[in-house]
Amino acid sequence: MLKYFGKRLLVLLSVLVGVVLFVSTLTYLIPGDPATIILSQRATPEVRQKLIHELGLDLPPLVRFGQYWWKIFHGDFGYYMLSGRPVLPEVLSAVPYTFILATVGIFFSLFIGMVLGILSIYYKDTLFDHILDVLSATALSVVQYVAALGLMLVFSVALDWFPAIGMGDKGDIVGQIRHLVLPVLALSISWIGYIQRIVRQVLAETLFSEYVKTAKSFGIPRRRIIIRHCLRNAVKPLVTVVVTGWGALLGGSVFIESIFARKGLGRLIVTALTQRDYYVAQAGIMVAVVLFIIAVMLAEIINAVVDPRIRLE
Amino acid sequence: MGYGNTLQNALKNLGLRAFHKIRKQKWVIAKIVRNPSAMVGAFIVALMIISAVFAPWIAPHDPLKTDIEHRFEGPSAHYLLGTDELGRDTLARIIYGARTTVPIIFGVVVLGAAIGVLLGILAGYYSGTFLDKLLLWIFDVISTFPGIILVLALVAIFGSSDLVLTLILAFWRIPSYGRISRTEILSIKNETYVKAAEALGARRWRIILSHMLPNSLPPIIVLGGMDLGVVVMSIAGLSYLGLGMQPPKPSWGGMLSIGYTYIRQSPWLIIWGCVTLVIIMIGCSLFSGGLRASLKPEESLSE
Repeated sequence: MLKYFGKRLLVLLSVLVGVVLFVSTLTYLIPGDPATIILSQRATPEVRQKLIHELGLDLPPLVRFGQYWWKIFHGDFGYYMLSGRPVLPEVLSAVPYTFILATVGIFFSLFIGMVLGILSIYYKDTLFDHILDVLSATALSVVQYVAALGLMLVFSVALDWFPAIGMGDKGDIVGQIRHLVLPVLALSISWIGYIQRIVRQVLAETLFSEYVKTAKSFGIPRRRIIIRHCLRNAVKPLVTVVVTGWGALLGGSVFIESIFARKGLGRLIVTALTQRDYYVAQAGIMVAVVLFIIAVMLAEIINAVVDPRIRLE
Repeated sequence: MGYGNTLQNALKNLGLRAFHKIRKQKWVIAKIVRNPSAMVGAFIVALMIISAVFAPWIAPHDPLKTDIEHRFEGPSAHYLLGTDELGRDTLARIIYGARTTVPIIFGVVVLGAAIGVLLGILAGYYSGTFLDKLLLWIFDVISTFPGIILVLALVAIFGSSDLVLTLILAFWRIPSYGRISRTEILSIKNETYVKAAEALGARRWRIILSHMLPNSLPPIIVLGGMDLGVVVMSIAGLSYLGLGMQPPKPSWGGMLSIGYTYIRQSPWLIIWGCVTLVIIMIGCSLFSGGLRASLKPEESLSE
């Protein structure tokens, strides 16, 4: 089994290398010259040249590339253009906020989605089931930012139940939770629809299979059958979907973070890209990708642990 | 008989087969018609396309014409869905929004599918070799990037003109098509008819084009349907961030962004923007679901 994971890890690491290559090429290509940005247009050419030389931007690209990698291995991700502060600590400090958003969001969606999925199988083919089918198909189509704007409109502007902007003050847990409600809901809507459908489909497939029919004929209560036997089949697709989704959210909650004005990794990267702040963008993207790869690995590990068949392949 | 002849023959055969397949499509269409949710989806997609093509004739007002006295109005008899921040008719802007968005999404899906499927076929046919592993690695690298960020970074470099946007989004979608077509080819490779063709001495490309490709199309078509919706959403998202369509060109995402700024003045912009996008997404999902159901080969049906 370790060999299996070793191989997977190698593949994922090569993907990481590829991503970093890609990112550095991209940021190298972004037009705009850091020296000019730092010094503003009025600087004289001599001062610009001096800064370019200092920043090492006048070296040939290959040398810069090599330098960049060398620095990364020493944990030096560069400095903010304008303020001179080191980049990595700032980027990493944005991660916890996104982490909270993503984690609460995914678990909330998982919980509600599973409950709804189980309920709809319990009442299979009734009106409830059909209504839920339509609702989840609709929910699937409500993308992050659409949900965010809609929720903000209804619950914040119109009803004023929940705050729209910001994250709440430090130490004010209740306030922070209140600020989390709408963003988490916005995130969850499409995930709930998705998870509900997966759960219902898996349960529908297993509920009428042979071994379950056997269990039923033994008189085992329906509830126990659903939970003990059928749900286990749902673990594999759910784990894959949920954990990789969580990983993707860590880097991709851009819209929710900007609409609700929260600090977070996605928003940081976007701002950095639009402001041509190379080092921040690069570092941010790499952090996001590393987290995603970790999530993928985690999903594979959990699946292998839960389903012995995978291990033996 | 040189290669040129073989290619000609293969293409002729592809054409003939396509012709027969299209004749057979009648039963695909019949299946869709019998499926209510698929009909709804097809209707919505058709509506979108019609809006795009016939916008100048359908729209009640000029989407660029401002009417400052009547800004931020709600629905009225004159302006069916209300007006935006400059008094322009919202309904007209939505219809014209289709005109700006639809060509791009079809371009993205067709281009992404074409390149993705081609690469996927290569990967599947030569599976296990270095080429296969290389292509898979490329697919992984592209898809490990958080989607918005990849597109944003590329837009930052290459700009956001229509053509560039299409290329960038197609690039983003290539891995999905690549993986699916690769999986299909992998399973088709071992089918009897392929082995029969090989035994008869058919050349490699003929087998690929005439046998493997047509039979691998269904999942790709289904993915394409879904993708229409996904790309619409991403274009709207980009326009929301200010990186897609530039004003005053009407765009759905742009409407949302303006609606967000003026959320206190008028909720209608956001409402109609969200409704439009949700309906389109639902339409594309239902349509691709209908395609999936109808393209599944039925055991009981004889052709």
